Amino acid sequence: MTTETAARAPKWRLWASKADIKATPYALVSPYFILFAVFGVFPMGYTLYASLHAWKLGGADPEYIGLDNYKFLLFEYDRFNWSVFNTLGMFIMATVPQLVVALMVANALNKRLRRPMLWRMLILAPIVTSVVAVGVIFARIWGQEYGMVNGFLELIGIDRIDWQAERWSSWIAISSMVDWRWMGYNALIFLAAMQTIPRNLYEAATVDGASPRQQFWQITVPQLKPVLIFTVFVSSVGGMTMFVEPMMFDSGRLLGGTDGQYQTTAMVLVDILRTHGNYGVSAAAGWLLFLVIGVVAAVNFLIVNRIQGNK
Amino acid sequence: MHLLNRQHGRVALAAAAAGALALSAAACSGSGADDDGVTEDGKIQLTVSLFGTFGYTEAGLEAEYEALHDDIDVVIEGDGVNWDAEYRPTLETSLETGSGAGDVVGIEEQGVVQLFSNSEHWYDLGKDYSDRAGDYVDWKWTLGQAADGTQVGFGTDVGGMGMCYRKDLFEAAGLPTDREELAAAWSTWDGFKTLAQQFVDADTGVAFLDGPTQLQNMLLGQLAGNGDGEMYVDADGNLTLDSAAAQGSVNTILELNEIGAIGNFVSWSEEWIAAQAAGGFAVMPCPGWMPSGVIEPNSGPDNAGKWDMAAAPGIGGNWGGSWLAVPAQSAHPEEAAELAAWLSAPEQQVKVFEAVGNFPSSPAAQADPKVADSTNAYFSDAPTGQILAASVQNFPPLTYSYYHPPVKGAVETVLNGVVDGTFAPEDAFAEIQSAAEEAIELAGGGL
Repeated sequence: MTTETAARAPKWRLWASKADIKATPYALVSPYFILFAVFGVFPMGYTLYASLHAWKLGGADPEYIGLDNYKFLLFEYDRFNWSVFNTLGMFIMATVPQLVVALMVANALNKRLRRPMLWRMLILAPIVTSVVAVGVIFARIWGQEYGMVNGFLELIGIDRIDWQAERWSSWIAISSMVDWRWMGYNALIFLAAMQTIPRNLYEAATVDGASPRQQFWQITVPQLKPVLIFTVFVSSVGGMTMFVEPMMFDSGRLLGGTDGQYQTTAMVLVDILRTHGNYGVSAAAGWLLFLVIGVVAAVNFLIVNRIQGNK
Repeated sequence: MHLLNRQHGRVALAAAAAGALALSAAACSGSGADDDGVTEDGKIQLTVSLFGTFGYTEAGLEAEYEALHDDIDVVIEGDGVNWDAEYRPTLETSLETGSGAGDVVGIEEQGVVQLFSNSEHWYDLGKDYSDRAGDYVDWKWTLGQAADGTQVGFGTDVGGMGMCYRKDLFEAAGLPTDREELAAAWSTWDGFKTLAQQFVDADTGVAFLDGPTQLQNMLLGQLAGNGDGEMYVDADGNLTLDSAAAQGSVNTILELNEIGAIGNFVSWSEEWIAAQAAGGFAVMPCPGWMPSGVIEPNSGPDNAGKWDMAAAPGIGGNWGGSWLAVPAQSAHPEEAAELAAWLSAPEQQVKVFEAVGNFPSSPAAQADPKVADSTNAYFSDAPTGQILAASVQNFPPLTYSYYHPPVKGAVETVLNGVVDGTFAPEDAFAEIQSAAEEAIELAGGGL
């Protein structure tokens, strides 16, 4: 009896400890996956389901219609294709200068400065302002009759411009808003990454007679590659889902100007849902936007990945 | 309260931008009542969910009602929320899902047909309050009914209209500045066009009208009310863009734009707000709640006495009135109905008028000297009560189709595009047609 019990107990313990080793890690990481399933996978799946149905708020029961919602957006509803064009255009117009300037600013902040903390705080300040307030202020700055920009233009003898009326001009105004807000954020990330680059690389380069400019392009930029990929990726997602800035530029309307000059895809999506109460088409627009973001992120990754340095 | 009252407060705008969070967060944070709508100290909590400016808070009606009923805790929320972008979609979702709506909710005129259509969503007010019909003109009472005739809403205000104008700018252009004289001169729309031409010829450097939207809507209502009642969409959901009202209102805007009488100030834009303070335009059609609720705060104390108000051309107008209703999902529908009846009673309509200028829909309230003899000091002591009462007195009721709001949005956007040069005037109707067709397809049949 006693020998049997003694032999059994370790066996049970062995099993428990095996289970502990195998299952506990899963249990510990599961909160993330459960949350992701509830707030990530399920909404995406449900949106996919909705996008395949004629589904109106307050209307009849959803009816399966295959890809008709997608066809409508791609081939009939001109605003959708234009919105993809607008989104890409504003993304490029806003992101490229933003990242370049952020890189320059970070490089400047990485030098020995008086009161480095103050400068870093100042550069980060725009990000903590409310985007709605920024929108209201910028809509005033770029106003036709009473805007500051047109005031300056008039001083130097240029006619007032109706910034909202044309595609190019509205994009400039909205890009200025995006850049003002996000440049500092990216600069700070670059700065953090720059400070991890070993000093001896620069010292060695200086000994070899490399100029600061050469050091920047040959050492700093290649060393920042992983961070550059990260910021480009985050900017892609942010730029492709641009919503509040153009909406506020049109005083809260979702149509992006009189002919959709600056209507982004996210605005089309919300307009279809809010103004027209159409779940199906709106969900289809969401999935198309997801695909567009995927393509843009992939293209950006390939471009940034080509950055090479002489290591 | 009013569709027009789009961005009555910057706070509201912030809420709109943040998404439905504003309303739902407010609903959740309430003041500690549990699911059955009873507070910790045993009072029945009634949530009044509103948009725009109903004026109940300003008139102190919340405290007044609680003083009359010590077992009731009234919570008013949603003041300043945008009707179309924020409030209506959220309310629609709440009605559909059967939870989340207030105990008393406000409904704007353009949404009554759509939202009241299904009587299952609403508590039947006709059971206990059918005698309140006497408080209203017929149309205001019957528009508060569901498709099957159940009484589901009590009217609050009506949007009587007048013309708000800048005396100093009229004088600079050599136009009459006396409100009686002006009302006579533009009693017809031809008279209005003549004055517009005269203003433009004077070349004072400012626009005559603010933009196309307000005048076009006023004209649309007048032409529809005078004629067959048809606007953009008929009861079966067919586009009627060739109706007399749609054609006439758009053509008048195109004519006025041709002579350069329409400014490029999109209603509710930052520039439009700035123009009111800077004197960027001389005249604008305005509903009763606009002088004190919008123009005075936008123009500021420096411009006091420069504005005035005269009777509108044609037969006046009605733009933006509201109703109160009790959703069937309310935990305390009887108490909520009592509150809704009290809030919309003629006496309270008078108090709201005094507080924020929303014009009463009840004839008894309109006749009250506090309303009928009221003047607006900021607007050169104009007899606003009289002007607004006259404008709604004989104004025929309009019935808005389910599809009216999206098509209205399409028309307004195209006309703004004509004024800012995006569309050629001769293409206006073609653009309106295609935008309206898309709006109908998205909002209705097909997809």
